[in-house]
Amino acid sequence: MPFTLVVYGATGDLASRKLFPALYTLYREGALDDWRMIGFARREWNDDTFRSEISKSLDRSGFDSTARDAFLSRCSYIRSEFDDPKGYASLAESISDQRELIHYLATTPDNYRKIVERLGAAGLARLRSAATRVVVEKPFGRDGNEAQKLNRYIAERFDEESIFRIDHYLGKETVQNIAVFRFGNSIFEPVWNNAHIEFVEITVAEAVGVETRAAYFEKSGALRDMVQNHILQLLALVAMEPPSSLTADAIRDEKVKVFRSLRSLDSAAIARDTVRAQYGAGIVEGNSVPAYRDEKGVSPGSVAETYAALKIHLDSWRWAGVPFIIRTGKRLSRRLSEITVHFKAPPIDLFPRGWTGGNKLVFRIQPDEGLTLYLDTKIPGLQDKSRSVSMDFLYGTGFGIPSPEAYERLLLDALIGDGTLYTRRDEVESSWAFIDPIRKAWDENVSPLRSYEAGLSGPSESVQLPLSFGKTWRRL
Amino acid sequence: MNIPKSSILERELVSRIRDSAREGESATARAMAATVIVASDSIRAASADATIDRLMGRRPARVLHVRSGSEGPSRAWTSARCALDRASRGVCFEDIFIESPDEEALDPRIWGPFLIRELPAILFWNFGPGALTECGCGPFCAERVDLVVADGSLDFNFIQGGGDAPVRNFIDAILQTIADAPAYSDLAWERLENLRLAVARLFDGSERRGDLAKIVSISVSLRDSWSEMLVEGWLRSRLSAIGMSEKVEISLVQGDAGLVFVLEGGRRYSVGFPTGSVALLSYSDTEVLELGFRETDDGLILANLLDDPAADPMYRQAISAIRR
Repeated sequence: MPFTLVVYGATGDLASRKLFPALYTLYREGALDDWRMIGFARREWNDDTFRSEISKSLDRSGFDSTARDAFLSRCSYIRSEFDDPKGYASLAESISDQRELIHYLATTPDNYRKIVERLGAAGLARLRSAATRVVVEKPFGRDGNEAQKLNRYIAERFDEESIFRIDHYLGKETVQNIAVFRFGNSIFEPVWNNAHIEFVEITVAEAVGVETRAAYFEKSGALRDMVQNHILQLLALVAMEPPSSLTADAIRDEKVKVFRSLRSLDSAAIARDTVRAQYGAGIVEGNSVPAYRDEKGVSPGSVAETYAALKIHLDSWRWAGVPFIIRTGKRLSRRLSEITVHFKAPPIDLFPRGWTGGNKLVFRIQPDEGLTLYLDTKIPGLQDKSRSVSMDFLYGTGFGIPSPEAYERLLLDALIGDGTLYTRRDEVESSWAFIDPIRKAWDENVSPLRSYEAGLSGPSESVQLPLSFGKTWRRL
Repeated sequence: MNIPKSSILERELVSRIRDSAREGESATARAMAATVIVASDSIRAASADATIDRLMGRRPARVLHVRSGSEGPSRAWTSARCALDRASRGVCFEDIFIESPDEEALDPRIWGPFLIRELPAILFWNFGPGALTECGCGPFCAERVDLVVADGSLDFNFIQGGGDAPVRNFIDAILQTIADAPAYSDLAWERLENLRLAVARLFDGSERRGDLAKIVSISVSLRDSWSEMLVEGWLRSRLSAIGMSEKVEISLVQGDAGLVFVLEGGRRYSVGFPTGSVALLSYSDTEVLELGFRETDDGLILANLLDDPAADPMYRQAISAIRR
């Protein structure tokens, strides 16, 4: 179906780093047929400057010039303020009513309402003859209340099936593979429960600091930036029941059930089972880096957390009694995202347990996307000693073809109207319902802001979360 | 300290190990068993590296050579090498060298990013036991290092000759390190495994076991003083377990005659090691038992520690029992 993609905030970082390279890849691979892209932003650019900037972004992403001119000829630019009706009138004139229309909001969140309102007023939302969709980047609100308001606001102009709330983690190959692994293989599902799993650990660690996102991060902090969306989505995929089918709603129904089964944390639990911290100066990759409060754009008295760790329980038959420990942080010792499922030890220890013994299944999301299963094996020799060994699967070498970038998959799904990898309204609202009390308690200092040295694995207080049930975090 | 980014050095290593593996026959590039951190200074670097080199061909490992006291400026570089094992399979070392004129290269924040996350990490420490916490390795090592390995015999050489106080301090420092480190292993102790097996065998069997209660004195005569003290401590801890610690006199005698047990009535049992893999258990001039052991060297000891990076609890008991 012919379509027009309108990128709001087309002069921004997200468009340049992610969207244009993703669109270009899809184009070169023949995934796009009859299409146009319109950049819509405030900067004083014209078609030529827009195309030139796209070209630069493709250079930065390492693309050669194959098909570049033909690609750029489909791109044009409209300069407008986001609340200026004239800009939207101009947009309406430039697109055909017969083409599907995809609005991609790649702006800062404070512009979402303005854009959606103007789209509605200009007849560029649901009152078109061809399908119209809107893609909304995270964060979807700053709390549950804001998310509900934004949902209602958009819902007045777009049908729920036309709203694509993006969480780019869901576009990653390994994340999609969690469902395939769990429900496409018969050997793991029988042990995927509290009878056999001791605890689940989710880590999303970054080596970088706030970079150019200080203004956003100061308001958001790690809890809103990572936990409410990416990490809870990962948790839902690990914990959800088998869906009745692979339709978007069947999968999202199951994820919502997981969010609703998250046990709310009261003040005592928040003080005991959550840790928030901010990085101090340290050494990362051999270079001295400043403390968070000394980063450009950060207030010297900032209390924004750059690290968050939680111990969570799910009140469901499958997961009763199984702790889920999650952590995320900036300026940690390495960049790493993974889910580790720790299985229980055999009922009787017949063999002396050696180095890091125990069965573990690790979904590596980045880097080195893949899977590792840890098994105890006898050390060769005359003694009956065992140690942990691994069985590895690497996406990078396992199939001989590179995994698509998350944005390629997500963009294509939005273009063809498949919302499976996007989050539904009730998913967003129920995840906020879990996060809001924690955020509020943290703002009231129920759990004090700790500090950690940049380049290490986080604050020492976080050790307590797994230690409360006799375990440790996996090494970073 | 400004060293190249770990990602740059890692990329460099990938190509180096690939090249080295190509030179060796059927080497398994990048299949590593552990990370070994060799912490030393310009004086001790050669002997430390020589010890670790004995691991070559036994286990594939990433070896981080972190050195203080270099003559030039701080720098880091990589290399890779492969050797054939007994089955003619290539076994590779990935080497990363980090050195600085001051002590910065020893800072775990500098070398920490090069640890292979999923594998055991073994710190081969060449500065004596007291300095481990001084370099800031305490909390970091507790979290990221599985085993701290030292060579007590070498370390002991640096404190000998100053009377009893330095020896007491040395032993106290080891006990403190055992308490602080994730696990601690002394190569000098590991080298004594065959000796300990031989002594156990000397009193094996119901008839000989009865002779344990008749021991009056023991003389220990080994190649180095630290090993002698370890054996003394070990004997005391074992005798203590059967309530004989106070009754038996233990003396350390220069030489390498082995162990001589004097029993009531003047009978003498002895253990001698004419070679590293043969022990002679002597009950009288005519009754001599020859025992064969697996040849032990530092390479084999290190390989075993890589496979099972755990401390031997008996070492702590032995250290604690040394008379000071």
